[in-house]
Amino acid sequence: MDTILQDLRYALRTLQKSPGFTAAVVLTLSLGIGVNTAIFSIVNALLLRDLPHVARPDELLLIGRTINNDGFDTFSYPDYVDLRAQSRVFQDVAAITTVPVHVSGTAATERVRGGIVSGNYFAVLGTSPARGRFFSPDEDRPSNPAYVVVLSAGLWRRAFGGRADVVGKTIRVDNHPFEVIGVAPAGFQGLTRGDQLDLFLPLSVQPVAMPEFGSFINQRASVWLQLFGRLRPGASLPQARTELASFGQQMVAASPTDRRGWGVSVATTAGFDPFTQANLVRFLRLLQGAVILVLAIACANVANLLLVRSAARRRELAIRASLGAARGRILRQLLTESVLLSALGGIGGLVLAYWGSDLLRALPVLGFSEAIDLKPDTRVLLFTLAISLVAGVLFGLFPAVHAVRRDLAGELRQAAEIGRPRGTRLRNALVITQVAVSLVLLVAAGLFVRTLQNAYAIDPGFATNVLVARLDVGLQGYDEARGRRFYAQLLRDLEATPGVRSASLAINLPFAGGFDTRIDAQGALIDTEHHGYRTDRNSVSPGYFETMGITILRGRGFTAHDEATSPPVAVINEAVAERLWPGQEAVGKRFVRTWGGPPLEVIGVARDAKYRNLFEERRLTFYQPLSQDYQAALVVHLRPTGDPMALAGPLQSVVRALDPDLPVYRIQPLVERLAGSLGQQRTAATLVSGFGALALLLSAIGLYGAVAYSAAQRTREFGIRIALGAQTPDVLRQVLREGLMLGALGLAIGLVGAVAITRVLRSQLFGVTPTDPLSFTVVSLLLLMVAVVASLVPAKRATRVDPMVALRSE
Amino acid sequence: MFVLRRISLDVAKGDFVTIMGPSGAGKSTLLAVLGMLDGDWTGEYRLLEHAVHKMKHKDRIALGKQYVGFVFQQYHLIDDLTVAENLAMPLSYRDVKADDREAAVADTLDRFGMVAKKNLYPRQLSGGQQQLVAVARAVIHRPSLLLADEPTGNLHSSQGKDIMQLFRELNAAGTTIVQVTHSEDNAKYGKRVIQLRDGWVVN
Repeated sequence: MDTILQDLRYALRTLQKSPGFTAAVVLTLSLGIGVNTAIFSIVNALLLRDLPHVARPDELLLIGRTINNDGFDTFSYPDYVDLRAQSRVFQDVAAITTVPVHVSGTAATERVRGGIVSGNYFAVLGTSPARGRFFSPDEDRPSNPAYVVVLSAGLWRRAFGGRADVVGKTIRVDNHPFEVIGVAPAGFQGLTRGDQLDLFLPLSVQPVAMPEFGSFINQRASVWLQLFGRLRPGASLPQARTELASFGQQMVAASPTDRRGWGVSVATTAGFDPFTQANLVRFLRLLQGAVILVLAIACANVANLLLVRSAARRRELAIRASLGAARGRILRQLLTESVLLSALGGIGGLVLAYWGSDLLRALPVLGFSEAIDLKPDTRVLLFTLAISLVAGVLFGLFPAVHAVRRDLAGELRQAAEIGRPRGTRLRNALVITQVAVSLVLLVAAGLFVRTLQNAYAIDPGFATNVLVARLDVGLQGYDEARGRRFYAQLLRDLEATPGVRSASLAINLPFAGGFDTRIDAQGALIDTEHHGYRTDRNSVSPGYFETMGITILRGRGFTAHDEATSPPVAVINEAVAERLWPGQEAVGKRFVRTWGGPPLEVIGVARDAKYRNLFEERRLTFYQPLSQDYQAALVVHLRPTGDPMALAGPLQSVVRALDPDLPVYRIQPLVERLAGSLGQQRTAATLVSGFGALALLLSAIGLYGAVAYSAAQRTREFGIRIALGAQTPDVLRQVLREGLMLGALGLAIGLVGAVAITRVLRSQLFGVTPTDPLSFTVVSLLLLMVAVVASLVPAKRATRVDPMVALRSE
Repeated sequence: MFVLRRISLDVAKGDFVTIMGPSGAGKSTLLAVLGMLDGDWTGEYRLLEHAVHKMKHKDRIALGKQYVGFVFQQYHLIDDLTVAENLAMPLSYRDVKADDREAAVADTLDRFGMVAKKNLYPRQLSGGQQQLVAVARAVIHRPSLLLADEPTGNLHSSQGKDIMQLFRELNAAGTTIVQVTHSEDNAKYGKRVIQLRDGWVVN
């Protein structure tokens, strides 16, 4: 212990003595460890942290419905009741669905997100109310609707100013009076991380909270509830799986034709549904891989610096050895120094990661809502400590072993050599590794940037300078007649608004998921196996195609003459025309929806567009006139004469003039949706490019260090060469050649590595192969350029060597 | 501060001059001035028909490259080059074509009896052999003036004699030699001795 303390004291003194070296090492390590800590903070925040106010989360399991062992879907209320009654492995099973609701009764009507939950929802999660109480079991029975509401802490503060006497007050939810019975604790997110619902209603009020669908709570065919259960003490995941599998069979038995292929599966959860979680894990692994490479480069850099330093300390180590220090003791001394350095680097890394967490929040990665806390916690602290220690031993071990393996006693007698200094090979190997690793990272960055470029180059098939906003008159209690009158007047008023080129309404907007149905040409055989063609659909007002800039290729778009009572018509896209009537004129043909309803006559063919995301393959889509498919919740589309966002204010004024209580929500330009749909690609391109740049910088420093050190050690040699007739370009060439050789070797190894590694990125790339020649060429040239620049300074310095050094004896 | 003062010295073509004097007398500096490695002096210096003092730095370097060869006390061979590569080095700095370079190296190896050692590295040679290579390297481009700084300083006496004998032969063949030495024995190989004390020529 005493000797360890002594080692530590000596290490501290040694580092203090060379502040420049210490600063360079600590800064390099801080960067390497900092990016790792930052990415781990994300992993921690998204996957590892306990969900706030959820007790013993490891006992909770998500329960999902599968079809042919695929998917993780919702259940009907009767199925939920059955499962809850029968289950032996679960202490209890709870249900939730989320709905938009309009809240009024305090300030202006606000559109918020609500959870319709089973009476035991909070009890199964193990959550206690911050105020008042949660639902009682009898409040969720459909036979006895209870008009009670639990507020989130956020809504309580927003709408009630956090008043203590909120419990017992009445608010209006979707125009119905509800009594506030309690407030959920601040930060409560249920089982969905980052998803803070504003209020909670009991299942029994489903018909009120979802007015457009009527009452379906007792229908076995309506699947709408997400389920989760808490395992009994001692029950295991496999037991749950077995029990649910047999419950799945029972569900199928209840209705064999409708429920063919159904099953039930379970999943543990870290706060996401299994698919989002798998997607996140894959994405975060990619980022972790990238930052580990950055750390590897940082370690190689530091190892190089230590090697240079140990060469400079040859005499000191030799004296220690001659005074009787065992190799192990010297090794320990050197390792103590490197671990101390890495500890300092770790502290620097933590500071960087703490600052960086706000930066990370701004990245458009999945689900980084305010509710997700990215600040480092104890787990992050331990992680940083662990990687600092591992890094310290890793980068310290090579140079230390290298230092003690030499004939230390012989060092004192050794004359100066002319030519490359000792340890050159190991140092060069480290630099070559750095360059190789940088190349891999930069190539990956190049591929992501190209993917993003390709994505932006995709023609979405619609105009993006359109402002969209949503309205829902159903939640305001409008019936169909009043709703139709309202929307007709709204369109007239908007058309008359200055700055509006055209206005239209639709039930769906691009990149917002879709409504799909199955169709087939009228008269085609629709058998039970075929079920027609899966198709997206949208219902739109006249003027929609003009507003969205979607060309009608043949026939016509909708007009005011396509009324509710006129024959049902549709506009199809090119893909539908080619699928249903290949080689024929589609206009005038009819098609049917497999679920029934009257056949629709094709009156026009619209150009194909992208409907769900930019990367999708060609999708079948048809449009119906809104007049023949009334919906209470619609999206307003405005084509401006100028900046789309300039219409946000006028739009709200127009709506307010028609109904002061009707909220207009999610107002945004379409181009923003487009950018949002590329969130993961943008994040990958930004982060991997950032890490690549960092790696390049570190490698450049490493390369510079190696070449500069080698050139400095060869001062005498250059003196001799100059004395023997070498001129400036000769010396310059000599040093540059060395830097370029290192660069080129690193490049060659990196290229092989990149070809192997980028293959795993294939699924995340678009329009570019993992071996994209452009990315590989540009990155290779960039690295060679950096090698030249990094070698230029030491090369210049070498040309200024005074040849007199050759004449002076030591 | 002056290292050399009022040096007035004539070295005739074909001369073999020995410069002697205690440490710090300025012997090596004088060699550096003669070899164009040091340009920080005032006065007149004529090498053959060239007025060095009127020349620009770059031209002086070129002149040195053309006429001067150097032998150092510590041989100063490049450790990671073979004997043949060390010999080829001065030629490569004089833009001699690869074929001519190879021929000159082969010729020199032959002349100095080192053919068998051409692929060895300096550390595989004895001190005497290393100095032999260094001398060979100094004369491979056939300089008119050979400057030698303590050429036998690191050798034992028999090896030293061989090197001095070699110098005598080179001198006989027409090379002008200026050597710096502490050794009276070595001085005897030369035609005359110049004593240097504290930067002054004293004889």
